[in-house]
Amino acid sequence: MKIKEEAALVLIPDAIRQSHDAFTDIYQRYHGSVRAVLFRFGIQAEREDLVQEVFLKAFRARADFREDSSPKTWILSIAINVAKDFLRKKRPVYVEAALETLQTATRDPDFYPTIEKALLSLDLPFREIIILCSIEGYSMQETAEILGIPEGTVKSRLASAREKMRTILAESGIVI
Amino acid sequence: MNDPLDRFLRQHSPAVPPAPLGHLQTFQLALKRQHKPRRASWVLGLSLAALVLLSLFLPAKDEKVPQDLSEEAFIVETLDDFDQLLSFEEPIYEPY
Repeated sequence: MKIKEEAALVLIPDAIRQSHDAFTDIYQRYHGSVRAVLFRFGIQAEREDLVQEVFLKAFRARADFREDSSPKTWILSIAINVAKDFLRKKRPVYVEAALETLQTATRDPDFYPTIEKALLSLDLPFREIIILCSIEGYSMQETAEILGIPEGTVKSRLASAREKMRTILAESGIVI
Repeated sequence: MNDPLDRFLRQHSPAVPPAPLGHLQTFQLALKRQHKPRRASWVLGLSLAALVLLSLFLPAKDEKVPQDLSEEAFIVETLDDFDQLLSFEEPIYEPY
């Protein structure tokens, strides 16, 4: 529950509403998480630009930040929306390029291209659930906050997404 | 999240590449630029408004400003032109 601990820091909501220097601290805390999510979505060449875009959007919308939400889930919800907007615009070109680049970065050259291909072939609502819950390890409650959907929906969507992933992987000979 | 699929995916997913050098400075610069365009557009807008006002109230440099636009003045000016026409002297052609 690392997010809960971070949310308990009273200074963060104030920093979010304050000016540039304070917002730099927000960037330093969460840029890694944002970068990870964008990377899991398979965004390569444009990733750094999008990381910046996420935080600039957050800065512009800082007045909308609610005390009762976690700064991390707030930033990540912006990141998910930025990633989805990007993928909707660039999908046809992007999938091939992403697979090519990721194959060079993989830890296990035999498995990862297949995993990535399976992940990229999932529809966005399932893919984002697998990325957040299964790969990045966010809880269902955190994922629900990030995606702005009920926890029950996360649970059912995660079950369907796992099932789809298993089917696609099985077609490539990976049975889990 | 103890599903075997989750463990498999985490185990075989590549590590996230590190942030490039100078990423924080890039962000700080971008953050500073957030206000500059607004200020620039505000100044530009004000300057344009001033120019439009000036162009409305000041006549162009080469434009001849009529001294008197009354109907009487126009008639007098027209009559003067008419007198000039009447006083036009035909050239005297000497016989060969």
